[in-house]
Amino acid sequence: MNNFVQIKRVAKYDKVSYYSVTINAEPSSLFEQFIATNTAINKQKLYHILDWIEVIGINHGAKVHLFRPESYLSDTSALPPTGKEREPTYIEDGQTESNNLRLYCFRLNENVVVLYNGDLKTADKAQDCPNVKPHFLLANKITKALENSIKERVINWNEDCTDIIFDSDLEIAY
Amino acid sequence: MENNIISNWLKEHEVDPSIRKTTELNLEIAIRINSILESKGLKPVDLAKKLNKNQSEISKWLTGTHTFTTKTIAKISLALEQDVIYTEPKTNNVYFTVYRNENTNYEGTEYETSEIFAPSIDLERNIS
Amino acid sequence: MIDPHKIHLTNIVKVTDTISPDCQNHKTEELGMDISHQMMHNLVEKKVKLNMQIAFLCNNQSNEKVAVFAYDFFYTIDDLELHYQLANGKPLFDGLFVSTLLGMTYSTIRGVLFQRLTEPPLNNIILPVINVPDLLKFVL
Repeated sequence: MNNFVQIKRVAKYDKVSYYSVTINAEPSSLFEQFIATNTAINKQKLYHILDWIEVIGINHGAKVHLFRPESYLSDTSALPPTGKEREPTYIEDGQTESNNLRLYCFRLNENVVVLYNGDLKTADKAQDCPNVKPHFLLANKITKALENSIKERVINWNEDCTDIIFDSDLEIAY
Repeated sequence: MENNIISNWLKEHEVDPSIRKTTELNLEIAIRINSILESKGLKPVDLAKKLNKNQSEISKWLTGTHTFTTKTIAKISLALEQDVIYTEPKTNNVYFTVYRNENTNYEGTEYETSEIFAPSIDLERNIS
Repeated sequence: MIDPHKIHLTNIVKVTDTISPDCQNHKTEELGMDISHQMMHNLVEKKVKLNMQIAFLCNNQSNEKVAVFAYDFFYTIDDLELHYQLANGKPLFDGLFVSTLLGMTYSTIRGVLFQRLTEPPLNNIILPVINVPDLLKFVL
């Protein structure tokens, strides 16, 4: 049985439109779940991440260097990197390598970012962390599916590539 | 801003306005460092080598999620041979008096003919 | 040492501005140029008056003056006393100091004449760059 996602816009700013996805028609998108979970337990770190997302949206745009790629070199069990697929990236807040709150995302271009879910990283490496790894794997799958949808023009760009266009009831299998 | 989950949450949970200010500064600095690297044709790994650090640390700096110390900024500035943050440039004000061509400046003054001591050699300054 | 901040140019006064009626009959190549100057002072008020005259002459006709322009430049020098020595109660001014004033004066006259001279054969004349101390060589 295939799973499917629907795309939902969660915020729009001058420089960036932010989206998330809902899985199998759940009421809450991955990003909203991320917020809900972490408002209760990691509020400070969540605040930093959301603040950063907003400042990027208002002032700077989603420049490449602002997003960190998941390092495949350290994550031997992950999907092999291919030239044409873009791996998911993440946004993170925290002082040390372990105990950071990590949010996975998919940066389409400087103006469009899809936000997924994430968790507290409790190990030095993502693949060693039971909290974070499932979110990373899910992010990977959905990103791949979204990429295909763009290739197949099920998701389109607007005229100046500052936003995406898609049917409101579009369902994408992953 | 309807349907803006992020802004709404931030408004609802704001406690300390300095967090926003810090985020803005961190991002400005990150973008500035990246811009300097690009203008010099350098990559993050080059900066890492100069500072004897892991590339992943430099990558983290460039995300704007890192709060810099002034000491780190100083070291980065030296390594890149360019100021990351400009401190106030020194200005030196010079004041001039401008005169209008009015008679009162010179009327009523008596003048005597001058004699000039001018050895025919050694007057190197040519002012024309 | 000459301190420009202590030199104040307070007035420029036109003394002579004559173009002979015959001037337009000459071609530019026939003309020569004469620079003369005279300096006067008032030690108490620390003032110097520099008169400079530019005359255009016809080389062919025994240096007949075709046009004459003369200006008085009034300077106030805050540290005038540093630039002369008294000999028999009269000041003897330092050549370098006077050269400085002459240079400023000459350059300014260059600008004045550049604007002033609009008719041939004197139109658009740019006074040449000179070695200003040369102006002191023939002081009588």
